[in-house]
Amino acid sequence: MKMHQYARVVVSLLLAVALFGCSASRPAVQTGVTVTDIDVGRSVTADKTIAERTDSFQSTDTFYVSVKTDGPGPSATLTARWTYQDGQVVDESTQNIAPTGSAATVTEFHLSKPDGWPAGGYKVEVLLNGTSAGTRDFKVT
Amino acid sequence: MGIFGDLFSKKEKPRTGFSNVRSGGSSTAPTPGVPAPEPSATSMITGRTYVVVSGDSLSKIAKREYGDAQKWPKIYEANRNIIKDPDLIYPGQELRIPEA
Repeated sequence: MKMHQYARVVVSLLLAVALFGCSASRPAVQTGVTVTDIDVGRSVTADKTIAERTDSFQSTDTFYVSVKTDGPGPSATLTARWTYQDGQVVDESTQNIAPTGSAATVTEFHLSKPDGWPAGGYKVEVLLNGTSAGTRDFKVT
Repeated sequence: MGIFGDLFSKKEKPRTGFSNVRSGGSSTAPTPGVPAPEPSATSMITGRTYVVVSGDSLSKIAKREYGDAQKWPKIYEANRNIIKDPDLIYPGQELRIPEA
């Protein structure tokens, strides 16, 4: 009986080491790209940065989110996931980028609704290679 | 009966319609597999972009962007490639708004 318990503990320990060992040594997504800033507003400049920053929009406004990234990478995927107050997904857009130098790059996403936005709270979540890099909350009044 | 009634009433919660949203995006970074464009005079254009929504007119946009509706020709001239008739702009069109 005691022998069985000992064997069970040893097997459990070996499994734990194997599991954690694998996850620790598994490389993360191989990219040097990081998200350094996320801004929301109602217009952007030609260099994709927010021209008019706000977190309070009118129903006829276009939402813009500007995402600044640093570092080079052969391929990175940026996603903007827009949700309405109850978590309802309004839209999800993706941009594939390949920053070449060390200079920062800026990517903008925009969203409009010709017949106007319902009032309420909204959120945009920015994902880098499928992992959340930050969220911004805003509202339509 | 009461339990089922509660369950069904929760399922029937109305969802807000977002079927007609228009999304887009752009980046200063090159796209994977596409070489970065050479810097040129056209890439130096300054200003911002504005996406037309229902009910917009050039004068309304000018009033909003510049505080003066009479400045609509400035927007028209900057977007002659996509605006054929200044009285006809369409929701979803992306207009370049030059600096005031």
